[in-house]
Amino acid sequence: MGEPGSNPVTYTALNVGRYNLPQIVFKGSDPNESNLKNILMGLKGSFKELLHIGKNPLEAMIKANDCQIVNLSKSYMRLQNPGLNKKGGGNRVKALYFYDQWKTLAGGNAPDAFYGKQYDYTIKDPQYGKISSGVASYEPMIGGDENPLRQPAPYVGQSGSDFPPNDPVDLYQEMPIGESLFPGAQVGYRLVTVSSVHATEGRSAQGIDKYEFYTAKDFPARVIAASLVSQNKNHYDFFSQSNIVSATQGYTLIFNDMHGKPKKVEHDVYNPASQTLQPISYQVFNYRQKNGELNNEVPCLVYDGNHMVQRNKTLGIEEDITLDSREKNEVTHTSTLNGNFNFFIIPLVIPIPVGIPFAFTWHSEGQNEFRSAVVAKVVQQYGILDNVVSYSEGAVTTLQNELYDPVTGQAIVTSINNEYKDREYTTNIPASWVYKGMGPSYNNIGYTDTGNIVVGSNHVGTLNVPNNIPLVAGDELCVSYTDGANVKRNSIVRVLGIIPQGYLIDTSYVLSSPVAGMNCFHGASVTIVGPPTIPYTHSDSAMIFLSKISSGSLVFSDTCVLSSLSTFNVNVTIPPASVLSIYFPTGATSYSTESTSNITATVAADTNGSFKISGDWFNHPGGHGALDVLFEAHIYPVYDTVYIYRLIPDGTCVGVSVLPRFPLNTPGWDTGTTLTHVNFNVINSGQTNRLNENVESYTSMDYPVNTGTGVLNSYLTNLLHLKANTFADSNTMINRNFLANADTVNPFTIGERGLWRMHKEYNYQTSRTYAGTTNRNAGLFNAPSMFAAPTDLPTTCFLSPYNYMAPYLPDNNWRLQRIVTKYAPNGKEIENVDAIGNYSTAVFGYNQELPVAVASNAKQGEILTDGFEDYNLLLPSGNIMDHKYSPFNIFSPTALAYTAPLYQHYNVNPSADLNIVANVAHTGINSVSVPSVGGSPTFSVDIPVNRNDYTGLTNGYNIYFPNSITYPYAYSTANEYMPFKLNQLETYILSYWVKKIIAAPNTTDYTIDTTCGVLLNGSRRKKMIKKTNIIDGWQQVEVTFRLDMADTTTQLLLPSEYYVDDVRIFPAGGNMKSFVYHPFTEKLMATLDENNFATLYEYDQEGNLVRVKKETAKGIMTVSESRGGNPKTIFP
Amino acid sequence: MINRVIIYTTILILLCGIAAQGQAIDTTRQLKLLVSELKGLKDMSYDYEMSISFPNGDHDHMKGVTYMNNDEWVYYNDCDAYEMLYTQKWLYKADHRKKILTIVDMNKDYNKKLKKATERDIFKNGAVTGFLDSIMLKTAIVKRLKTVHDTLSILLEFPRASEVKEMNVVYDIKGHLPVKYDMVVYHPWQKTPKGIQVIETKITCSSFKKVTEKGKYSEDGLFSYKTGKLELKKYKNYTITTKM
Repeated sequence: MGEPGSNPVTYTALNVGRYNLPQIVFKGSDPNESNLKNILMGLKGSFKELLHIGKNPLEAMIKANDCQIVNLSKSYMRLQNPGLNKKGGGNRVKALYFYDQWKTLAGGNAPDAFYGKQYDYTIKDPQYGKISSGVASYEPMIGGDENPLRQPAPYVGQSGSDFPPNDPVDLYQEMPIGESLFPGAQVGYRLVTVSSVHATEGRSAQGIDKYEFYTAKDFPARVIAASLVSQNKNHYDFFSQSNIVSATQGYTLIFNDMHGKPKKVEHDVYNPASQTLQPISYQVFNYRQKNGELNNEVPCLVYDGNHMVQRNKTLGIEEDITLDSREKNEVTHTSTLNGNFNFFIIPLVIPIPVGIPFAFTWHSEGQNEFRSAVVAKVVQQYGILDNVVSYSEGAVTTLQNELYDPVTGQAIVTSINNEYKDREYTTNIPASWVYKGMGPSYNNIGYTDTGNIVVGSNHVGTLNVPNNIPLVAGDELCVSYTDGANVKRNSIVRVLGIIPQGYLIDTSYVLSSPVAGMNCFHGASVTIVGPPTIPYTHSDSAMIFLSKISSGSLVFSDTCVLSSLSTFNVNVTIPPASVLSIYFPTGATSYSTESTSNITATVAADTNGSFKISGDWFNHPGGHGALDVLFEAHIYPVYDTVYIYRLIPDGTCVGVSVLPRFPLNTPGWDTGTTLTHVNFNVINSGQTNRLNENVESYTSMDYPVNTGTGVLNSYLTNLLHLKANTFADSNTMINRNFLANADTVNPFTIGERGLWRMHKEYNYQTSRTYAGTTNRNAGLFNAPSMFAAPTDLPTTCFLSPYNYMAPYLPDNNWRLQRIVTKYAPNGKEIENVDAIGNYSTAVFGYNQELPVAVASNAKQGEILTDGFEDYNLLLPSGNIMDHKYSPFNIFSPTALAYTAPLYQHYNVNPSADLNIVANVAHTGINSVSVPSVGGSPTFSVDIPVNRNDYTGLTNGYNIYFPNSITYPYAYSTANEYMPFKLNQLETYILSYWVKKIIAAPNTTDYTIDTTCGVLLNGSRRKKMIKKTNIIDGWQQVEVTFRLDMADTTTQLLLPSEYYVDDVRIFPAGGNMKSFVYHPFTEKLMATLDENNFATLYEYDQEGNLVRVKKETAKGIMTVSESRGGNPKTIFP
Repeated sequence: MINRVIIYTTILILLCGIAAQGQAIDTTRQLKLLVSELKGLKDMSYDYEMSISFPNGDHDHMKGVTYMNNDEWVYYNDCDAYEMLYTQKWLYKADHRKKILTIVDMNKDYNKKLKKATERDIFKNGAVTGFLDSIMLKTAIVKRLKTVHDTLSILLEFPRASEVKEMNVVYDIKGHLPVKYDMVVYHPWQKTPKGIQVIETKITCSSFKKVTEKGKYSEDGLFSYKTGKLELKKYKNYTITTKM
């Protein structure tokens, strides 16, 4: 019929009503209404419809004047905005004003002044002149009808028919497609110009700052619709009809993050000569573009199986693809009528056309099939910074991102031009390229597989899978299994490593003779002989055999055993992360029970070559606790032949070792049991996403990639600097109280392993080349990279910790700068060794958050400082994470004024006598008051001596991880978070400040009992001496003492009826500085220098530093003082 | 002179109306006569040829023979697409296009209501009567009518909204048999901007005759069913879709 004389708006409204609001257009058809009135309305409507049957319903509606009236109050009309201005987008800063009080300060002789900036958000348009620079990323959904992208896309909602006559229902869908995915409405400004509020006045205020930004105008959201591809397959005959329609269409929505990113920052000043503004500095941020659109194809360094090579990769694009596929298939089989065309000619006595229903057996078939597939791809594109061009003081420098890491998107190679306009290339090698444990966890998280588990001793299970599956040490697996009682169970386990089945002697590997460093052997030469004939079963990767001499004699002296073997260097090339053992053949000495014991040294992951036998490696279960005694007993009297062989795995692996999170309390996980039907899933990867750490950094005048092959160079040329560092996952300490029982021994669970932190720092030091006539290429050098593709690593029975590269020390110019030997459990670096072997350490207090002492030439646990400030930071008693560093811990609750029963649950000791006193302090807030117990002039405080007598942790842990290649993580002081202890044979300086509780006035020197000092082993007394006179009531005392081997106990004898503060003990060969903080604000209140003299810091009530004072032997001197304030009056 | 011409012409026009009315009365009588004759047909056979054209260009064509005997309740139709026999006892249909065979015991396996309705429509000429009364008599327009001796030729046209577009019947009044029967049927298909597309069906029937050898139109030549055993005599390779 086609809009029978009606207004198009009316016609559309009627169609919309017919299709979407039938309950309004056709009264009584509302399914939600069931009352009588509605039913009667429905009957009335139906009767009306019956009257108009056979007629176009729209005609009746139009005659009934339906949809004739427009409610203007609820209607709108969209018009073009001719002015290119639009309100909205929120508030923006127009100007900032600062007012001073100059008039008041000048005594009324000068006026007040104000300063400030004004902001302009306009831009010049070549066509429209000055317009707003604001660009909306999109329009708000509320009021989105104003959006010019909101356009109708017409479609036919329901086909029309000729009889009964009925118009098609023409509807429309609103554009744009996928609007809900569009970016949020936000106004960004292309240009913001900032100038002084006095720009029209003095010359100094005439500069302007221009801030340009990228907006959606530069990089708009794009919608690409593929053309509709449809196919119609129809077939008709007398008895069947099939209509098969299929249609496909695709949409791509491309968004980006460029809206609001800085484009240019420029500072202009007024040039009086030209009377124009001219730039004096600017920075331009250029993003990778191609044909005016973002370009995410970037050169990257990727691993090709052998090398890191340059390849173009697509970075910074996220794509979501949604496929909507629909199918509707109607098949009608009928025996009485024909298909969908409702009639047929039946040859009866005369042929007649019959319609439905006609009770005649007549088989026919009709099929209507519709298929559609719509693909919507949503692309989020992130701009990739290509270069930054900086101009300042006439020089233009360009920082160019050259090569990227495809995993993180970080620039690996950058370049910048120097004053010769040559490019200097800086390369940073990501640590995740070297250490798998630092790589992205998506590599194996979610990996599933099956196998069996044989539970061995100490509940360590062997998961029978090949070692080429993507597991790494530290992976956490969710395991389901059937136990020995045929019960289905589940558990959480960690991967410890690979269990090799057996070892062979590598007969091709023989050391040269004599062995370097074996100069302790006297009287005969050391020779290398063939493979030993003795049977051995120990599973180590390398062995040294010391066999009995056939003639002559070799004698170790005590000194020799200690000194030479402690620096014993066999020059064995040991695979990283392996174990080297010294094996003593049976019968070598009369101590037969100990002679077969082995000495094992763990070789760190990046160590290559020499190793050092020392300390606890000799502390094996054989019996002797002291290294030297044990070793002497074993070796003496003689050995003259050294066999050195390397053991290699025999190539068979039994699987991956796994240990439950709680070994003792895992049902069915019993030693000797084989767990079957194992299904496991990696739920937490041992790869820890440490993707932003670097292992090597160098700057070179040469492009670091071979321009021919695209391979990242391993030999670096024309270097300006080169440094590297390695990482380890086992240099984080464990609190010795942590292991409450053997059910918490999993090293990855307790944080003993799996935390990858910086271990060693190297610097490449070599002579530089000074040739040529200019400085252009002077001072450069060449060097091999410390990292190369892993080679010579076992391919079986070896869970390689390395990814694409492994650390090597290709030459001796790589100098070790520093080793971080200990991190606290909370991640603080607490001990390191410098290039010449000197230790430094730090102590953290205030819940281990703030450094309270740093010392050089001292190890962790060897220094003490206690200002008694942070004892209000209570820890629950019995907490296995509690770390009591100071021997002064624990205090009386009354001393802390914590009298409530609540505090009895915390680490306070009601029986102690030392009391913390507030507001009496040498530094900080608190000091401790020393009572006179029983009239004694001194008060004794036990200072622990380190005798390695704590066995709970070592026993509980080391039965699970004995010295072997499988579990090379024996617990020792090397991985213990040590509390403060005194070491035997070490000299210490003890220093603290005292103040008489009740002192006579005008006293310049306290009379302190002469028995005060240090009492060693209960008998040897070291008296303290006064170091200063009384300074502001406090006097410093000091004692230097040395512990002999016999000194197993030490008491600190404090003067009774004195306040004591800032107690410090540190090795006499070291140097310590300590820090005191406010116990609540944690502001630095004092630093104490190497002589325990304080520098005091004082603050006003707003927290601003107002005074610095220095304590000297002649009293406290004010070093600096400052005051500041803000006006109290609010100015307009 | 001029006035006379006008007067005569006016008189002629008036007289033409009377003549036309007389002709209409005559054609109606002839049409009723034809309808009456057609309603009385109950035993004969004829050949037919039917074609159908769809708007998308698809065509189908069918040729066959139909035999009707309302007294003995036999309906037989054999064409390119199928061979069908409908009796009081059996419904037999061999679908040549699908190679399937339908054999139904009408007294045992067929819906009684449907059977009754079918027999009413077919053998009591219920459908034919309905068609003739409601379509032919009420809506047909006699376009041409001619009687030569005992043969009545009539060409019928129908209103625009009717699906039957044209019908041409040649009937032997004395022999009480049609001589030829053509019909064109349009069925609306869909509305397009260019207009309404239709399905066009044509049927042409000829060779109407009385049948003397009626045994030809029984199940004997098609199958036998004795003591629960079915034996096909034709189309043995067809798939039987019904259970006996």
